[in-house]
Amino acid sequence: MQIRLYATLRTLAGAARVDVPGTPGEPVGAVVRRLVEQCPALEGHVLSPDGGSLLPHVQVFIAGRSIRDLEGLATPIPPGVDLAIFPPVAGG
Amino acid sequence: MTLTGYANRVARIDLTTGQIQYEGIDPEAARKYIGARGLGVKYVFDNGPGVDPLSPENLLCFMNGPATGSAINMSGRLAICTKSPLTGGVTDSHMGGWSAARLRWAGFDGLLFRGAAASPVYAICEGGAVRLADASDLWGKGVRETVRILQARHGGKNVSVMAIGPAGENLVRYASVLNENDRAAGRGGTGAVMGSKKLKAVVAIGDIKDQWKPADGRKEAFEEARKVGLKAIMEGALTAPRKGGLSLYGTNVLMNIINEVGALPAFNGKETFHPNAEAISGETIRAQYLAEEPTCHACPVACKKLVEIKEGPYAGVRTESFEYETAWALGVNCGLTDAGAVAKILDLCNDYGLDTIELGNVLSTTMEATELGLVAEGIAWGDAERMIAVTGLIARAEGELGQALGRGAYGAATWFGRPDLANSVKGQAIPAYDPRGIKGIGLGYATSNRGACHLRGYTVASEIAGIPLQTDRLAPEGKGELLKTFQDLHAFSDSMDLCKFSAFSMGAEEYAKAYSAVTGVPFTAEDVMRTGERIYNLERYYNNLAGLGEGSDYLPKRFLEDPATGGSAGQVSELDQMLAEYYAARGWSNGVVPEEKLRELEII
Repeated sequence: MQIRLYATLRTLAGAARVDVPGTPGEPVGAVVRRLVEQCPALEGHVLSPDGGSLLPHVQVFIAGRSIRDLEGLATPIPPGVDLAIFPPVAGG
Repeated sequence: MTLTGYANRVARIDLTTGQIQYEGIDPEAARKYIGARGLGVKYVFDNGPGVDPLSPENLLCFMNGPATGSAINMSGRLAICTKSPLTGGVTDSHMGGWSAARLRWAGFDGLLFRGAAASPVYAICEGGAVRLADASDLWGKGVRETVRILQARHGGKNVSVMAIGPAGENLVRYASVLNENDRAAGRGGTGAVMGSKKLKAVVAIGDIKDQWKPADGRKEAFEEARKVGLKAIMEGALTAPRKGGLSLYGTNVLMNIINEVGALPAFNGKETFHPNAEAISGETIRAQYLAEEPTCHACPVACKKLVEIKEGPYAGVRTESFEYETAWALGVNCGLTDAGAVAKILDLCNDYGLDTIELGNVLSTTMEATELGLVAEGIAWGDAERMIAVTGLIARAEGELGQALGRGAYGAATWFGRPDLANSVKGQAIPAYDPRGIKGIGLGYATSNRGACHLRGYTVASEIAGIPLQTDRLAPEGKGELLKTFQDLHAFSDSMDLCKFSAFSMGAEEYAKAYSAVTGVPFTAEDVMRTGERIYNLERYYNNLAGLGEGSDYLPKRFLEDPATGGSAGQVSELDQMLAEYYAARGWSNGVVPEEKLRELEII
């Protein structure tokens, strides 16, 4: 599946889009951990050191919904959707 | 108790007679309303809610807060308060840069303009005195040339110029006031009020050597408050210089995330997602167009992004600041994703003195009306050249179209015979978050005292960024309480006057420390929230008296009935449910402040 990266994460990974193996029904956390393994520069910028939680204010979206409003990293990935990950961002 | 920090000097300038009087800050008013927005609104309130906004009787206040010009972080903001010609209610519009600090260093907490000059004038503030000078030679000139002439005339160094362009002179209802850094008091038509008074510019001449510093016994507390704030900024995930998203990409870091969640109003809100928004996003701007990253007084964040267009039809345009709001309003909202064209129109707005948010909505409303066959010589979606031409017509109030579009999106839509095409509340058009995809901010638009606005209560921080706590953007429940908290907190920081972005790394505790450090008054986080609530209620009371009573908190039908697209597909705003919760939290009766609430908050 494809993961879209934004802002500083894009710079760190050196790509705006990264293809990561993933299957429908799999928890989001597994795919995000795989992303970090694939792009080691993202380590310490998305997940906590133990990989068990998202860093504060990092947002992972599935079809526009933040996984924080769903089941967090345990949220199962629905078929046919991509992930989008943002570092902490806000403006006004 | 004596309040320190203030210059304790306000000038009342009667532009009709040319008389200038000076007075101190009323300590009781300062205790209740702090400064900047709060104190400015109090002056406007005392002037009476019945005045015609463009009449000589309207009061126009340039206001600083107690921390302005000091070393307190993010204290470089100035508030312009008046009765808005766009909404008919009270408005306050803030600008960054160095104008606020220079006005404070020139010796003033505020300037209160009343009356109207017979011929154009400008005001010069220096060394605790104000004088008026002839501006006939400046009338008709753009902001850039006005700034250049006045800076040269007054010595260049330490000179800040806050000026209007042709839009303000021609009473365009959403004319802005800009300074030498292209920082705008954008919203609410404060520039038109200046124009109605024939006041072309305010020049503030002040040197940092006149910066307020705490007395010996208070230096430690002041330094501690400053360091607490600085630490929060430097370590803030968003604000950390050269690391945080806001610092690196500016406010336009929001373009992609708001599009991702399907809350980016596109094509005048017919859609809430645009497939090519990336082309004008903060990431793209940084990679392809960024020229400089200027900052304001006392701010290490440097969120402003000056862009330079090097290729294509708009090559040579160099302007700041490519904000999210501007990129949205003039960009995807109008079906335009050419960064060069957006920069060109922004540049024109900075020189004409036009609010980019309202202008973007005026243009998008016209585009939808054109699509519906309601306007003969209209604008097609994304037609940059026609947008540029029409922007000029508006600024010059030229022809029937230019004049009609100068009344704002609601005024334009009414002229087209379809007021429902305007995405406006109380006469002011929405900013860049769709109420269908971010529920709390929709409630914020409906209940904002200055018309549709994101900066009265920036619930987006919570609903999108999770600051200070994550709330579900699509849930209407709890948004009444959440919004009230944000509105009250911002009302206080706007009265200090600290940058709104301070709220990304600071909260009521830090604000209380900063206030105490400057004024010497013991203050708690609870005091911050109660003071903010008092200011918000004073504004609402003014609006009630000005005729904005029951039923004035609403959202355009589009947001209640037409489902969103993209990441918010199918969503509409549940406004009634949220309004009931909000009014209960406020203790208001259908948008009207009851007398007991006014007494409880010591407003009457």
